[in-house]
Amino acid sequence: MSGWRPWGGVPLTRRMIVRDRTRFAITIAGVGMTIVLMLFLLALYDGVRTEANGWVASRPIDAWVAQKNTTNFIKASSFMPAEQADSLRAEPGVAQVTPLLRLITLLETGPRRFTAIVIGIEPASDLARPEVSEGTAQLAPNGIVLDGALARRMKVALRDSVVIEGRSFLVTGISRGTNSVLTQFAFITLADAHAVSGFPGIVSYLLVRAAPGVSPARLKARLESRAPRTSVIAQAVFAENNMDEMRGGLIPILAAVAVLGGFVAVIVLTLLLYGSVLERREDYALLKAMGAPSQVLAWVMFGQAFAAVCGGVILGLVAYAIAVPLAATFAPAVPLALSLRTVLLVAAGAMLTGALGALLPLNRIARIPPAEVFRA
Amino acid sequence: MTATGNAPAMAAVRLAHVTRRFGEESGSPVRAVDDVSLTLQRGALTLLMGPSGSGKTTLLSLLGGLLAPSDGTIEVDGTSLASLSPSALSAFRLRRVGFVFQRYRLLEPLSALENIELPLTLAGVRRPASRTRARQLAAAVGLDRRLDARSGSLSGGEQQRVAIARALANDPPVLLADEPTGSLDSHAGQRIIELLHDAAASGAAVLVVSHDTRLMPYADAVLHMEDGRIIDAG
Repeated sequence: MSGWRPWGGVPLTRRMIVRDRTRFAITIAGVGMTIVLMLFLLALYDGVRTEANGWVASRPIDAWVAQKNTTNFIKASSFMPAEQADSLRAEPGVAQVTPLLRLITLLETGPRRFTAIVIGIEPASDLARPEVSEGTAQLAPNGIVLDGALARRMKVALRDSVVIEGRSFLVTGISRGTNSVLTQFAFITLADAHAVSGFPGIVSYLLVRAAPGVSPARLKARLESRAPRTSVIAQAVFAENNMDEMRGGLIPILAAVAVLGGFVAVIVLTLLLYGSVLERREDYALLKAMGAPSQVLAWVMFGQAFAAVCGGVILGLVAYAIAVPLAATFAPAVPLALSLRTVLLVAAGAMLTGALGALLPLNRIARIPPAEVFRA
Repeated sequence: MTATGNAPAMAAVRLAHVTRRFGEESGSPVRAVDDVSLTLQRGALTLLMGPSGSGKTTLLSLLGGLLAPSDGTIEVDGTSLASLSPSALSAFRLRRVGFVFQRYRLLEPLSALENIELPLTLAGVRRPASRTRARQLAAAVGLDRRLDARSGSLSGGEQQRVAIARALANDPPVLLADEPTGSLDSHAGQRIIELLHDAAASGAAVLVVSHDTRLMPYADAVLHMEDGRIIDAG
């Protein structure tokens, strides 16, 4: 005779699960719901990372120039004289400068009003132009490119009209990478933005591209020395600052909900497995009386936990796949992006949850005296 | 006291001055088993009788290594149970002791055949050897059919026969049975008695706790227990 083989416990584990189909289904449902919650939270996090910062992070520039002490695009205000763009263009090593004006304002469609960040850009420059999923990114006077989520929220499409400060704009493009969750971006020409704002001599940011062969770091140092009342921020740093602002607001909430979800999963598993142990106390006493190695009891318990977790992961993925289109319909501003890495991460976390959920019931089994088997 | 059968006398189990007390922490301990010395021989069926609460089941638990004695020593095939670690004691129970219970104690999720096969699986016997052995045991207890039936769907007599086959799966030298006929009708009970007698005839030391007087003709020794002590060995 050789030692006990773990797969020897598989039929017993399987049969114990099959015997308690209802309990097992409840366990899978409980775990599945926490899995779908985790998937949503992580997909939201990934979505925010890729979608909310997409436009800022993908600008083909070397530096952002803004009012002094401005560090990002989301949570900062910046106002500079428009002539600043001309003086920077004259600097050696500067290949291109594009001004943009950022306004937080209301967009109206019929009686409905939506707050958005409206960005005025020079139509001729490609430095600030958004990526579009429909229509064109090329702006014309009285034309507007709307973020996709904003368009869905407003229930407008290409060739519809939206009103900003009493001026009507024709939707000519639908953009992506321009949804910062709390608000979305819309793009109009800089001239239109000046007209809407009523401050024609003001811009918010200058997007700067270095000439070929000029190091961005040297250009940044030179610009800072020539424009002391401004902040010159390298593109990568500006994008990261933007991300930090979003992370600072979102991550504590997402993390808190994720941790709570994890606790719920462990508690659901523990409760149901513990209940199963109490109900089958005599069976476990019998196995111990028969001399079942402790590995068998551990295998039977962990086997049930892992089976529940695997079922829960599958259920969670199915529920997620069903829920995503619903979320896009009912909460279009919520950016969701689920990667394989995230799915694997959640599955690994679920396995850990299963192991934790089995610990207490296993401890309960260890304390069942085998002599209990003689009780009538 | 010695319980000897017709097979060559060879001690399988020795108890020397074994006492088991309960409730010591409460300050008023009860001696469930009180200074019992006993030898069970291979090939002998020993019947242990006595009123409820006399300590029979506690003695059975001590013999099977399910309880540790408060005082005294228990040896099985020359091995002192006190010298075994918890995992070695589990292995000892798995390979050296077979248990039969009044309420059969089959695992309901498993089929009759899987119940018989379970001790073999736990001992690491691989299929198909374990399956073949389980079928042989099932045939030996007269259960050729309904092997795939869930244990809960079997009659009481069939369940007890499965339990006996399971107890014999690893060919243990000691078979302990607690009221094995207590829940059965007379016909099924008689069949179980014969099977236990067969197990003893095959060389196992069989101890049966029972009130069933039909067992007496089959017993090589009859012990009477009262207040934790063996008061009579017939």
